[in-house]
Amino acid sequence: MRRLFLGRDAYRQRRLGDAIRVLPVLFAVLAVLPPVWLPQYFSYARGAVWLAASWALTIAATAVLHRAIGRAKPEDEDDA
Amino acid sequence: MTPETLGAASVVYVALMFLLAHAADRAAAAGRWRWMDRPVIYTLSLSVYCSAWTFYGAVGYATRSGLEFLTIYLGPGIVFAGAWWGLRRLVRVARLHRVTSIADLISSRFGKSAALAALVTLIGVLASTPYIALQLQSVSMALSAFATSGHPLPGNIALWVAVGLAAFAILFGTRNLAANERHHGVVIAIAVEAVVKLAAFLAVGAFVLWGIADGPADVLARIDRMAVSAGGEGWQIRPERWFTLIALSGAAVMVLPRMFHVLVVEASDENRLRQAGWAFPAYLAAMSFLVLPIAVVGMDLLPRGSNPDLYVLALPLSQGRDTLAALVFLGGFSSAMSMVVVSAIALSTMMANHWLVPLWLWLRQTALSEPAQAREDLGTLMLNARRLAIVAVIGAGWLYHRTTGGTTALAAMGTVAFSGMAQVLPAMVAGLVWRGATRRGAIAGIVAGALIWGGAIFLPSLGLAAPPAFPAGIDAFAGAVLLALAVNLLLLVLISLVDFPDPTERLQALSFVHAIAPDAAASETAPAVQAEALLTLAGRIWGNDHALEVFRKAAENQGKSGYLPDLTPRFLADFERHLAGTVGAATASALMARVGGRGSVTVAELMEVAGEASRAREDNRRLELTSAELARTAAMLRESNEKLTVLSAQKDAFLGQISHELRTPMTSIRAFSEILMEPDLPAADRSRFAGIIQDEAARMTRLLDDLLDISVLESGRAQLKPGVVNLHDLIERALAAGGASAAGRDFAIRRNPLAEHLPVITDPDRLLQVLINVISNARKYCDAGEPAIRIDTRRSPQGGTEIDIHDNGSGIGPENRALIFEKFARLDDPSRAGGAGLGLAICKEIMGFLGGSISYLPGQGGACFRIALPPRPPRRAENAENATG
Amino acid sequence: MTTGVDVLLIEDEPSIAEAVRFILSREGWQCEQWPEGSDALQRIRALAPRLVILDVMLPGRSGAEVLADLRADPDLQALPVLLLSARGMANLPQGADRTLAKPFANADLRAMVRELLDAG
Repeated sequence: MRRLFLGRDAYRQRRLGDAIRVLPVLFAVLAVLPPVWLPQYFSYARGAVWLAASWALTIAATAVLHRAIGRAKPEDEDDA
Repeated sequence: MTPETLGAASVVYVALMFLLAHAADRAAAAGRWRWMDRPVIYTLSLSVYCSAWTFYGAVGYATRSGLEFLTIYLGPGIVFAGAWWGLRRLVRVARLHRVTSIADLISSRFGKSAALAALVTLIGVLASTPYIALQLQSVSMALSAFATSGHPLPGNIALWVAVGLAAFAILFGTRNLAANERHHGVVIAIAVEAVVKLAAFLAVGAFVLWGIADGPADVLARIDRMAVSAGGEGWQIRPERWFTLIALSGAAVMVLPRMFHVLVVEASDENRLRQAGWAFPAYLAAMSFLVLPIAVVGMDLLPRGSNPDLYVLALPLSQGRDTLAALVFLGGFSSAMSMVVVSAIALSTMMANHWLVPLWLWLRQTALSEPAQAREDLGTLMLNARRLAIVAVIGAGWLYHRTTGGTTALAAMGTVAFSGMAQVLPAMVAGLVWRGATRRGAIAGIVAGALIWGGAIFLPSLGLAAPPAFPAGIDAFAGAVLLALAVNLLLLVLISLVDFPDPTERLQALSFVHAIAPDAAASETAPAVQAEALLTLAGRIWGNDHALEVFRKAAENQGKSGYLPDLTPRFLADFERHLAGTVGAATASALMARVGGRGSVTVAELMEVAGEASRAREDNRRLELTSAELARTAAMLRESNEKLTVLSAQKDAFLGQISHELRTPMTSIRAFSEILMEPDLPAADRSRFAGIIQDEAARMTRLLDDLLDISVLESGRAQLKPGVVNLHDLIERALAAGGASAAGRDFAIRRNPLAEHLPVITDPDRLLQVLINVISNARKYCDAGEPAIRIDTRRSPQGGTEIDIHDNGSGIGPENRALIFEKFARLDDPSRAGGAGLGLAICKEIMGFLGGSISYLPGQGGACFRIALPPRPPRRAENAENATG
Repeated sequence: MTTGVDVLLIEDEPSIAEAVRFILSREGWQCEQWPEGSDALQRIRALAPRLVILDVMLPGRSGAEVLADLRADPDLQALPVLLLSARGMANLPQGADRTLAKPFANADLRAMVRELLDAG
């Protein structure tokens, strides 16, 4: 049974899970949309810098979130 | 640096990998695998994604098409950003069902369909063959970069590479048939190769970036100069290709057979995705962004017309950096080697499990559970099927390389493989998120997608057909991929919507989508199946020891002792899944059906199960635990109650037995002593009768000794006299003692004297007593025409010692197995009457006293007793001298 | 149809059988032995003894079963039977003319056999 309201830790845990779900979608948007939308603009050095920067940020964010989710005790994974 | 030196270096390198893999396998076998079983090894093993295509081809790709090469790494980057969300689910479900390959996953989800498994295997083999050819080609191509003019390369480098890699894959990929498809040696070797290729690429990248060019800013400036240069229009991003390739590579990182293998099958738990989720993209990013400087600097510096696929080697060579070039060569060799080896292992598992073994089962309609003496070893058969498949896969790659012989751009071949395997993706994803996806839908989708791929991408890549004509402005490759995937998905959805799947399929769908392991249908009883038949089957596949261990654990979980668990639906479902971990779901299901005539599930039962499953999900987990605990206790109680009932019936008989056993010799003694008192007895009779009296008195003494012995052992007052003894000597003595009392019959004794030389720390006299008892029992009761006794000894992994004593008689029936270790338990069988039944009861007490156990091993085709000793005997509080007071 | 056999001893312990045969033959009785419960009835029919001495604990068929078979057989039901029991005198099967507990005094054995043979 899912409880209706959670304590602070469990609540944080849920929001961490949300963030982890948003991450790939965000990165997909960053990596796909600009080059598809403005190919002229993103085909050369600017595109390389853009992709490198957004990928590096994504990797860093993933690392931070994955560490955080590892520290917290895994809660009931009914919704996995 | 000549090609010959490099060739020699790579031979040495491969030899090192052999040693490493061998050491890792040995460590794993000895249980010292833990320290190697780290997330970082898992992450590094994922780098088989970066094959020789990445190592050499990515630079060529970038030279021709600019940033588009990045799509091949951005796709996995996106997928791994969602590792904890999406991939974890895939790994969890796959491990729940002990999936052995991508084909097995799809087949298992869609009702354990053998046809689907064979189909996915076919696509995998078709798509991978050019890809493997590419790896072989890359090695000879790289060597040619070192060749000086007028000094031709040896002809068949690719062949030798193929032979070497096939040997590696066979040695470490098919060493044994484990219940999970994990290959520690191979994984360690791949992880080390991942480090080598990363180091090599970082070295050459840094050299180009700062040694030739003036740092990143200079490289960016050079890139921008491309925009206005002659070859610059190739660099223009084409939106439809950009999008399609990212989607394809994202799919490929999950469904390529080798990627599925390292990502899912070799994963020991889903938790390591936490590290791999960021570390693997970091690895990919490092490799891929260093491609850019190498590509642009190569274009600026190297003469026009040199092969851009070889810039990685040509740049350091042109600057006179031979050592760096050699390191790069080893890096490229590493990527080719790990790709070929893992692909061969993954594909051979698929081919063996889904093509060869089902074919063999179909050809031979015999019952598989017969414990015939000359039974074939199924495990060896399956391993040989895999070895054959490895040779076939790598051989096909080599043949492809031989016949095309071409130097088509490396990148094209890679995308062909990606787009082929991607046809599996819709079925996989739909199977994991949508319970409504059905087998017929999946087959239709995959077949249609694969046909479009074959006609519009695969055959044109071989030059056997023209690429399809799309409206101007749409890229032929991207168009074909999108068309194939769209038709695939559409058919999957449409046919699933109108379909009504069979119950097995619906059970599997429920289990995959909700990541729960349901029992088989509750009312699914198969009285024809005996636990022993299943044990025999398991023994033929995994080997006896592993099978016995699995069965013992299952029995223990049910609260039973011994090796034969109750055939509950849960046990049957678990057992089938365990089997599936070795031979794939479809074959496991077929094997179970063959052994036990396992009844098929009906829709009504299915609804019952589904209802139970969803209720169980809502139930408090603790409740489930409690009830499992209760069931275990109940089973334990039931077992001891059964034993008690039988024992109490025997209890009455016990005193009568003792009385009988004592009165019998007493009768002869009394009668003959009275006769001896008669005066006119011939002297010969007199001495003969005295002899009989003596024998009978000795028999009574023996019986009393046994009774005293067992009462001392039972009360725990026995003295343990530990010592070190050679097991071989002890067995010799036991056989000699038993031989003296054996009556008439000639027994063949089968032993392995070399294996018997094991030092054992125990009470030698007590162990000898047990050995004599068990051996003389076998001599007394073995009813075979040509009786034989086999003695096997071995050291257990925990350091204990095990002695198995088999005979080839008819064994002991299941109804008597619980009784033979009880006092005076004579079996009903008339041939087994006679002789006080104290022997095995004493053995059991002694073994408990020595800290070990004696048990009856079922399913060995005869009576078989296992005597198990701990590494050292237990210390008893009662025995400790209380000198300190 | 007599074969001259006075006593058929059905007993599986060789040393006891030897003792009994020795004791009875010293009295001049003709004595044969059979070591198991199975086929005991056929043996009795073939030898047609005047008396059967039957051990209770036998391999194959127990002495009780042999006795029951014998009493159910119209030809043999009148045959005198002396039962030898190694389990004391409790829980003995019905239908025997006399019972002797092991171990026994040789004189008792002789007396009982004589009594049964004279009566028959």
